[in-house]
Amino acid sequence: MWSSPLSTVLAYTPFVDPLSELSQGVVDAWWVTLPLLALGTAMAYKAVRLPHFRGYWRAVLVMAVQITLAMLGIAVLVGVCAELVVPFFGG
Amino acid sequence: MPNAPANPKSPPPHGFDPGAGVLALLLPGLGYFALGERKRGVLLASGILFMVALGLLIGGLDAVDRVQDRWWFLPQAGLGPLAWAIDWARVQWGGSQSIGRVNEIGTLFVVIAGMCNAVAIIDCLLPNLRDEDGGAGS
Repeated sequence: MWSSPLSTVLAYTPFVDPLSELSQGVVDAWWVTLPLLALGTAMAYKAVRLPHFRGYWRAVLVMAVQITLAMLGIAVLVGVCAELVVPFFGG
Repeated sequence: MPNAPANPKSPPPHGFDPGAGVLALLLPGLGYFALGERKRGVLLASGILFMVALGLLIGGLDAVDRVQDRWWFLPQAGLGPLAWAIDWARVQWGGSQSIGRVNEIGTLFVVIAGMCNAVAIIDCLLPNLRDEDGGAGS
């Protein structure tokens, strides 16, 4: 059933309906959420771990970047294994 | 006195603070308020609520489902009553069911928030296990 963009927006309730109800593009851009997840994790972890909060946001940013880079590295490794290593051994 | 503690005013090495632990379970960050560490409490609550809000924004209320996603709800329960409140709101207000990747990401955000709060609950329960510098033990 056809629906106009306006009716789609009006039917969407933030925090109640999933974001895919508003736009299917969100599903394709799921990877954008990775840095946000890393940022939230770093905020909570550094709040518990740091003895004092001078340089808190810098520590949070560094940890978020580290998490994101580590996830990207793991993704590249898994990709290389799946696309090159496994086919090479006749998988 | 070779066996005397280095600092007689320092707390015992295995202190236990059930009051702060219960408050930390009731609301993220509240345990640190009870321990007199307001800034730590505010920063922790900010991080955890940021992840919960993003999880709900992405996956909707269906990101927390005590019945259909029972195993995912276990780590989400680290948020305390907040996790049950979101599940209750899902039952009351419904909202569209999220499926596929959107549901996975929304659920994952709330799961990690719950696990982070579980760490904070343990830190509030056992504050004397911290390092000399005041941070949580590594």
